[in-house]
Order: sequence, then C-alpha cells, then structure tokens
Amino acid sequence: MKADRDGDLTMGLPVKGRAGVGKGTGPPTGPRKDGASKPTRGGILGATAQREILRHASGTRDVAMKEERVSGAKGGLVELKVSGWNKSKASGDADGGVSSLIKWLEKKASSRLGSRVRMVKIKKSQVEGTDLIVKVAPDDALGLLRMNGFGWAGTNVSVQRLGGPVQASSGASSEAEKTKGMLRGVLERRYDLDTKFLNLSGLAQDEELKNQHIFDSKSTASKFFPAMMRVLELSFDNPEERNAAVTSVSLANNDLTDLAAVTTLSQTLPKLQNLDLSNNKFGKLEHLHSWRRRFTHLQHLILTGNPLEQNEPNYQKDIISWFPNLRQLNGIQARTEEDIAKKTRTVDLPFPIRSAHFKDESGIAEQFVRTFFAGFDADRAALASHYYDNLSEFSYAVNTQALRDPNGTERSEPGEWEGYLKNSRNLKRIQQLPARQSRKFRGTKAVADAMAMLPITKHPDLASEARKWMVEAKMVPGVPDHTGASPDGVDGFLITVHGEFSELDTTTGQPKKRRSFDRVFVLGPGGVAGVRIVSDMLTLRGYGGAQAFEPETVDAWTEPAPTTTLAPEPAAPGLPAGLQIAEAEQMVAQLMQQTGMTLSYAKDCLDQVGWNFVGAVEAFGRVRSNLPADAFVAPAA
Amino acid sequence: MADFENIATEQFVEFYYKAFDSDRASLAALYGQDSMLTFEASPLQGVGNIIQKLQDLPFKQVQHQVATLDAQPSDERGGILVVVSGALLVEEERRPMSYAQTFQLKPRDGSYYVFNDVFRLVYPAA
Repeated sequence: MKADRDGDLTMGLPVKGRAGVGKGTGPPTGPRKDGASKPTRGGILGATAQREILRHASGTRDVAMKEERVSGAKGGLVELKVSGWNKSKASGDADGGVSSLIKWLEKKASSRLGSRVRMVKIKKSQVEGTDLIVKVAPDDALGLLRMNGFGWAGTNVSVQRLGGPVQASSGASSEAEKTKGMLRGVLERRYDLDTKFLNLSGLAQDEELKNQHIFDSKSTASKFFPAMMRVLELSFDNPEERNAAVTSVSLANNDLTDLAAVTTLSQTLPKLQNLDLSNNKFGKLEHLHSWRRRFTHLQHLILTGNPLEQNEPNYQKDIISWFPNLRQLNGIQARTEEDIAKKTRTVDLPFPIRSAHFKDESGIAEQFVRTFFAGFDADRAALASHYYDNLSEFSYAVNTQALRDPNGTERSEPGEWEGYLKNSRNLKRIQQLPARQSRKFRGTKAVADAMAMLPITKHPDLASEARKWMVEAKMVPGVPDHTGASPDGVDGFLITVHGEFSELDTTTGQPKKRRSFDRVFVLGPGGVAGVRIVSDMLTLRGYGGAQAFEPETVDAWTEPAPTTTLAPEPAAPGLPAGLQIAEAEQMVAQLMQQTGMTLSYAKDCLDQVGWNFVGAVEAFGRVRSNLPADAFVAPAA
Repeated sequence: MADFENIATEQFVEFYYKAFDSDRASLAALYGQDSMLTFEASPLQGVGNIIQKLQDLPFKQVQHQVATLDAQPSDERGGILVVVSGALLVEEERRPMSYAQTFQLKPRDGSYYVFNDVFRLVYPAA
C-alpha cells in the first residue's frame, strides 16, 4: 500500500468500467487493526474524554476552555483535538505536515454520499505541542470524530472532542439513531464519489462492523444489509439522485451462497451499471435467479471465484441473456454496442404501438383512443354523449390484490379504493344478481352518472409518454348493428388499453395517487362520432409501473416482434462491391448512434450516399429538419 | 344480462384456467377453427395454431389466480365479453406476474368456446 499525495493509503480503486471492479481489494480504509485507538465508547463524555478535557483545562487556555465546555455556547464552534500525527511521513514538511493533515481531515470527513453533500471546513486550527486543535461547525464535528483512529501518512491519528456545543445528532439518544449513524458511517467510508463506487466487499472483515458485533448473531446479521440499504435510501432526496450517485457496487468476498441476504440491493439501486460478485460461494445459476430480471442497466458483471464456474461451466450464456444490457462478463466482452443498438429496434412512434398487433382501418381506433382518454380526463359528461348510446354498457372492477411496481413508488394504503368500491363489479365477489345488475351501466345517462362518481383523472400524454401505454387493436366481426341493416352484425374493433393515470385532488387539482388500469372497448359504427362504444370494461389496480410494456423484459414470452412496424424496413440494400455485411451493419449502428436515427432511416441514408459514412453524416445534417419524428429513436428511459 | 350468463361465465373461466394449469392440450376443446388469440403481440388463428402456441410457452408448470372477473354481453346472440385480471406463477419465476386477459365467448353446443382471446402481462416478475 502506498501513500498518495494527500497521505491517503491508496487501495487501488479502479476506474469505473474496467474489468476487476473492486476485485480482491484489501480491507477498506478505516480504523486500522494494529494499534488503532478505540473511539471513545460511552458517548462524548466517556471517561477518557473527560480526563482529556480536565487535563487540558488545567493548561494555559484553561479558563476559556472550561467556560466553553460548561456553557455549551450556542452558535459556537466545536473544538477537537487531533493528535498522533507529529511523527508521520509528512513531518518533514516545512510545517510539520499540518496543512497536509488538515486537507486530509477535511476531505475524509466530508460527506460525499447523499443528496446533501457536506464539505467539512476546518475554521480555525492551532498547533499546541504535538496536538492540533481545530475548530469546526457542530455539524462537521461528527464527520471528524468518526475518523478517530484512522491511518494517515504512516501513522494513526486520533480525533477527540474537547468542547463546544453538543449537536442533537451526536447525542445519539436512541439505539436506532446510533445504528443509523453507524451504518451511515460504514457507507461513507466505503463510498468513492469520483468513481461512484460503493465498496461492500469483505463486510465480515470490516473492523467497525466487527466491533458492533453485527455478524455474531444470525438476527443482526440478516437485518444488517437491508438496514444499510434503507440508510442509503434515506441519504438521498429521491431515487434519481441515488441512482446517479452510485453506479458501481462490489459484494465480493462476502461468502454469499445465494442472494437472500443482499437482495435489497436490487431495490435500492435498480439502475446499477457495474456489479462485482467475485469470490463468493455461488454454486449454481439458480442461486442468482432472483436478480434475473433486475438490474436492467447492468453493463459489467464479475462472477469469477465462485464454485459456479466449476459446477456450470457454460453459465455465461444464461447470465448474458439475463441482463440485456450487459457489455462485459468477467472482463470479457459479452455484447457489442451494435448488438445493443439492434435490440432496441422498437421505434417510439408518436402512438404507442409496441406490438405488431395494431390493425387499424383509417386510423379509427387510434383516433378513438386519443379522444377517449382526453375526454375522460376533461369532461366525462361530454364523453358519454359522444360515444355511448342507449345500448352501450360500462362496468369496472377493482383488483385490490394486484402486484405493485417493484420500485414501490405508490404504496398500498388502507381505504385507498374507497371512491371506487361502491360500484366495483367483480363477479368473484359480487354474487347476488341485483348487485351484479346495479353495477353495470347501460345507456348514456347511466354511464355518465357512473363515471361522474369516479375520482378525477389525468392520464399521461399518449404522444410524449408513449412508454406508459400499451394499446392493442383488432377488428372483430359480429358487432351489433343498430341501424338494422346487418342482422349478423358488422365489423368493429376490440381495443385493449393498458396504462396508468393519476387521481387529482379535487381542491388543488394536483396529482395525488397513481393507479394502473386495463380497459377493454368494443367499438361499433354509429353515433355522432361515427364510432360508438358497445362495451367498455375497466379494471383498476395499484400502480404497477410500465416495465411490462418494454419489449426487452418480456422476451422470454414473445417471439422477436415481426418487422412490420409502420415504417417498413427497406429491402436489403445493394451493397457496393467490397463492402462486407458486417461492415455495413457497423456503419448503420454508428450512424444510428451519432444521429439518433432509427435502423431503417439510417440504412436508407447510407444507401442513398452509396455507403459512404462521412457522406451519410453530411446528408443527414442537410435533411434533418425535414425528417419526421418517427425517423428518430426516442432516448432510452 | 340474466344471471345465468354470469354464472356460466364464472364456470367457464374457472374451467379454462384449470385446464390451462393442468394440461394445456386439453384447451383444444375450448377453441374453434375461427378462434383468434393475441398472446403478447403474437396474433394467431385457429385452434391448432393456438394450442401449439400455448404448448410452446417456455414453462411446464403454471398457476393462474383470478383476482377480478367481469362480463358484459357482446352481441345479441348470446356472446359474452369477459375481462379477467389476476396473477400467474410460472415454475421458473419466484414471483407471480400480473396479467390481463380478455375473452370473447360464443355459444356452442349448449356451452361456450373462446372466439377471441387477448392476453397481456401487465407486470412482470422483474
């Protein structure tokens, strides 16, 4: 281990993205095994601290010191004594290493982890003999005190409190607060802001955790990790900041045989990019199973040093298929950027057509869906007159048991479905005929009245938030024709819509609760709109997210979507002589990346310039303002 | 709609999932030559293709749990539109998944068959 400029002991923390993330690093920086002075246990005024205070108080600065301690001057600075540094490797410096020490203290004590990054500033400092007396704001004192016993420049530094206001948090009134503080300290210590790397390897060897006897009993051992994840969550104002701050995690050297103990990691950091699981005891793929559809953004994964390698020598293929964005497994390339680009073939059309199954005649179904939900949000009475006639039927059911979004953005609450249950028509629950009949609404007025009783809604915009919708349409025969012209019925539409909406607070108009829904319409001809609703059946459930609407996550169920998107792919272009298919594909991928165009448009563009890449980029620059919106792939979520 | 139809719907749905969960091949009795299925973006027609698709699904064991079930008449000839919301557990997964399924039932030989079937996972196991 070598000391860098700051006097830090470098641990060889790797740069994000390279193989060997945190692999086999030694114990983390922190209180060293040999000769580490124990942090004062028993609180601020433990025996040792008290002795120190009295001893010091009898020195030259005694009066001021005493007063400060006794009165706990409010608004004042906290005074700390830093000792043990005078024989460090930096002692050869002109100032004996003091400025270097101060810099190190400030850097290490600063909180880099969380929404509120706190940079510790040592306000005043003064050398007294072999001690450095520093004064800091009360909030900073905690961070510095945590460093008591840390190694710096070849020596161990002790940090002790001398006097000053006691801030609420350092009084640690409850066990829970103490534990939170301890876990917070562990996370801070193991987090590197520059590499956004949280090093949770070798937890059982962690000095502080050992001192806390975390792993001594089964119950604390099992609660520890989820508790630590919870503290990590609490450090941030929102999931976005949290996901942005921590992109790499190592769980190496933790003796893990399965994911049970650490499974909460996938809930706390779902967008993780780099994960090191090396040197554990994973024996089979099934032991990693629960993370199979998690970590959808994972790019680098390390599994070396696990019995898995011997037991299932071909495990790589499975792992690669589990993580569709994985670029490297164990430092070996699993996918190229082109592979990834090709997969996201789905064009984000203005209308959310994910499946090939949207058969629409003259845009009737599309127009209906747009108008309907806009009307449902804005004016349900008008909507009812517009689309429902005397034979139209509407009913809805609430699925109170439905599974919720794994990110838990909308928690379940008692009584949350109150406004809906009165007319909820679940034939499994509503068994009596009169009750069943009264919950089905027939005719314009009945439908309007029933809809008026439901909370006001706001659906996401179909154009700009297409990813939150899933709409399928097919034509169906035999829809009743009220003109009487076709006794066998006519062709109509069966439309299924899956999505979400927010309930609006009636007084403030602000969104208050998000729900997911599934709605089925049977449309027939007629009415003022040219289209009338024959049947409208709505299912309401707790917010489940839009993950199911992304093609990648359900690839185990579907065949690859047939390439009949609305913009048909051009026929295989005639490639100029000497240009291999592979090269051509690479050009397309690169052009897609550079310009944001879809596969088919990029291909077209290259074709038009005779597969000259530079020419294609130039051509794109000239025509881009004329390109329609569907020429571009929407940015990844 | 007379309650006879609601009851028949309940029975049909129960029977359907029992058959699905125990022996998918037996579902052939519940579809017809003119039946249509849209299963997660794959459109199919005809009992043969439909049963093939269902049998090819990548799992051996599955268990459906119906949470809600609603029905409306779909035409003037006894057809019924059924909407189901529930969860299913596939042997491979540890967590159940939410699904939404729509059936259009038509009368046949004193019972019903599935004329139209639309299936969607609305929340994956993740």
